[in-house]
Amino acid sequence: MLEVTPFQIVILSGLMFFIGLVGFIRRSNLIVMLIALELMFNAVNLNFVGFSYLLDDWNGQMFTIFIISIAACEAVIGLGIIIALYRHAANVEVDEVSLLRW
Amino acid sequence: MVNILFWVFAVIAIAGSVLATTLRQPVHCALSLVTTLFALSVMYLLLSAEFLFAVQIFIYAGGIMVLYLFVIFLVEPLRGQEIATEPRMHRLVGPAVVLVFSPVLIYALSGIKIAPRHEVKAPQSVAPIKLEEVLQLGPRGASDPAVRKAIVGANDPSFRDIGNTKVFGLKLFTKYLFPFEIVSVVLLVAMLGAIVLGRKRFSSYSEEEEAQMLAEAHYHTSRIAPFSGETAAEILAELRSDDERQHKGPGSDFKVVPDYEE
Amino acid sequence: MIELLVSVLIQSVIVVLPVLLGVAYLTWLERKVAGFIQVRLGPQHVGYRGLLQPIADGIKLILKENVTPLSADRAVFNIAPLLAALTALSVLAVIPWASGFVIADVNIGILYILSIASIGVYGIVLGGWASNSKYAMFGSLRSAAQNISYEIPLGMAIAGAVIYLGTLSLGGMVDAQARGWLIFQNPLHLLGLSIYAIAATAETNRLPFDLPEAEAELVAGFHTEYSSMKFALFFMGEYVNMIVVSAIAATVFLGGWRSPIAGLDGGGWATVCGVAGGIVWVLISVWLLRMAFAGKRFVKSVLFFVGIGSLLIVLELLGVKQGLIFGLGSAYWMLLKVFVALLILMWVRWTYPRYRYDQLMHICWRILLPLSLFYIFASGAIRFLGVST
Repeated sequence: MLEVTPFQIVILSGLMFFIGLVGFIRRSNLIVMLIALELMFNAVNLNFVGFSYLLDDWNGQMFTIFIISIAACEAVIGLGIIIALYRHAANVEVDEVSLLRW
Repeated sequence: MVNILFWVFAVIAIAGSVLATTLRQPVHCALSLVTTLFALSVMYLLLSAEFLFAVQIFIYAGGIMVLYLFVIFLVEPLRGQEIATEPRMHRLVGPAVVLVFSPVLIYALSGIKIAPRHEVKAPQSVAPIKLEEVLQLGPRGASDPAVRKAIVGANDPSFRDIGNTKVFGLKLFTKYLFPFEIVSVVLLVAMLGAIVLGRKRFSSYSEEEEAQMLAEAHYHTSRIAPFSGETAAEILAELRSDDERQHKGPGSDFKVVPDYEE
Repeated sequence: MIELLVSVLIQSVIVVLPVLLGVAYLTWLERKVAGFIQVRLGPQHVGYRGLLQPIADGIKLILKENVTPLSADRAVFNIAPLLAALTALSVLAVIPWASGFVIADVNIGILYILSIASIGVYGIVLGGWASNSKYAMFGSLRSAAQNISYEIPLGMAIAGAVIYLGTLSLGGMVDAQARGWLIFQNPLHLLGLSIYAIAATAETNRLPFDLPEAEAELVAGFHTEYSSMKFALFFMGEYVNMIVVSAIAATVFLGGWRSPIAGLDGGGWATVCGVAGGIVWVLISVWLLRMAFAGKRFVKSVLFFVGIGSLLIVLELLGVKQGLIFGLGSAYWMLLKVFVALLILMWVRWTYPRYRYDQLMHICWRILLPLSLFYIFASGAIRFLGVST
């Protein structure tokens, strides 16, 4: 049996979440920003699963599987937007496509 | 032993996530994220979530990340063509944020004490356990080795192991049926959205009508900020050449000089 | 703890070494079968009837120069063939090769296999990209799209069978077929087996679905730029994938290590089925070679393969002890099924022309997917209505 304390789970997932957040803010390539977003999703997943284990409750794992499905939808739509944007502007850096009209 | 494994994979996950946000090439970032997802799925396995271990690899690492790689290939296909941009903040902003906030976080979270709402039940006897009793257990109870060895319905040879997956499925389709159906609708909507976003031409106007509208817009804005004031024909010609560039793909109007003799 | 590790290591060696040797001789068998279907002999010169050809090929591949393109991405270029080969080999751990012989009978065996199969896509995708060349890139994109598309009917065919068998672990599935093979328990599962067979042929990039590697179209697809050991790893990954896919079909649909007639797969009957299986083996081999030989040399080839067959029978009879004969007999059935599935894969390869890419996608999304959805629905309905027995 694994021995983890809630503190360890929260620190781990919080650290991953922060890394994802800072990556999202720092990078300008849209795809890498989406990757950092996925990192945040996964940090939350880890939190849910960890507490499901500690509290012996099914809600955590159920929520995790729904989060995975919804993250899949969000990734699909986000990547579709990136492709449409790339067709229009030939660029996926957020600093370059900053003009509203073109 | 299990604890050591957990921390090894935790370190791998954190290292992968740091690499995923710092590497230059998007493909390397995506691969670091795949490593992180693998490490996370092993951690789920250690946290008694076997089904999530498989689902995470199957769907996240094996489906979503392949999709990311596809889009990266479409957008920045080969090496040597990427645009070098500078990050938007100083390089040390990230570690500084983490270092500044972590003492606060650690101090705030160090006092967590939780207890399960019910006792982590393991079955008392090794005798055949009824399915209803297993359904009352939490995920840790359902993954218990003692439960593993119990057989429900001794005549049915296939029912030899109640694992996390079976109880997960039973719960998913009874207690959590409504979110399940909602998620299927959301997936359908996402699929439709992706198909619509991926189409080439959005508008239902013809090219001449579009050119006319663009010419009018140019005319109107040229009052405010002086523009070249192109006529509809010129805009149409521009649109057509744009179209050609689109059909040939991005980057088709710049030449690459090969460094070998033909 | 230590003895667990040692036993797992020994079991892994027992499984992996014959599979690797089998992969080498699978290439020999493929060239021979190709030859006979095309009314010619296969490799003849290297050993007796070309039996040393795989060894010569292996030595050639090792001694070739290891070329890395100048502008290729070093790290990813080296990782890609490893991913392709290792994911294929990892699946061997969960397959029940004989009664009581599974290296790791995990609860979620078939889910584990599907997950590892979806990781195998990375080897192809990254191999193409890391080569930094147009042909490799196109080949890898097409192949990856084909792979992930066909994972869906594959998974659904397996899901329909799982609904019927009631368990995800492969050892449990073989136990659940104690009444009889799945295709004998209900004829609906022939549909499942067909869907699985077509999807698996596409998954392993075999003809008629091998446009990604088509020599005439894309030079060599995603492994254009690879040479020597890395190419050998890709190649090996493809053949191990074939073995794995046949083994899964044998386990899920064809009853694993069980014999078709209930009760024959162990105990004292193992000798009978071993002898019968040996004779079947001899007949198949003789029929294969008979197509090429004529006249006096027919007798020589018959003697040669009767010799092989009787060697197998003797080995079978040697394991007289209880545990050994049970294990040996059941391993025999499993290997026979895997071998027949592989022969069918090769037979199909050299018979049909290649599908075009849009035809390929049409088959997956507009034919196999509705069929597999129907299969899941029907399988669940039959199980629910209790028509099973």
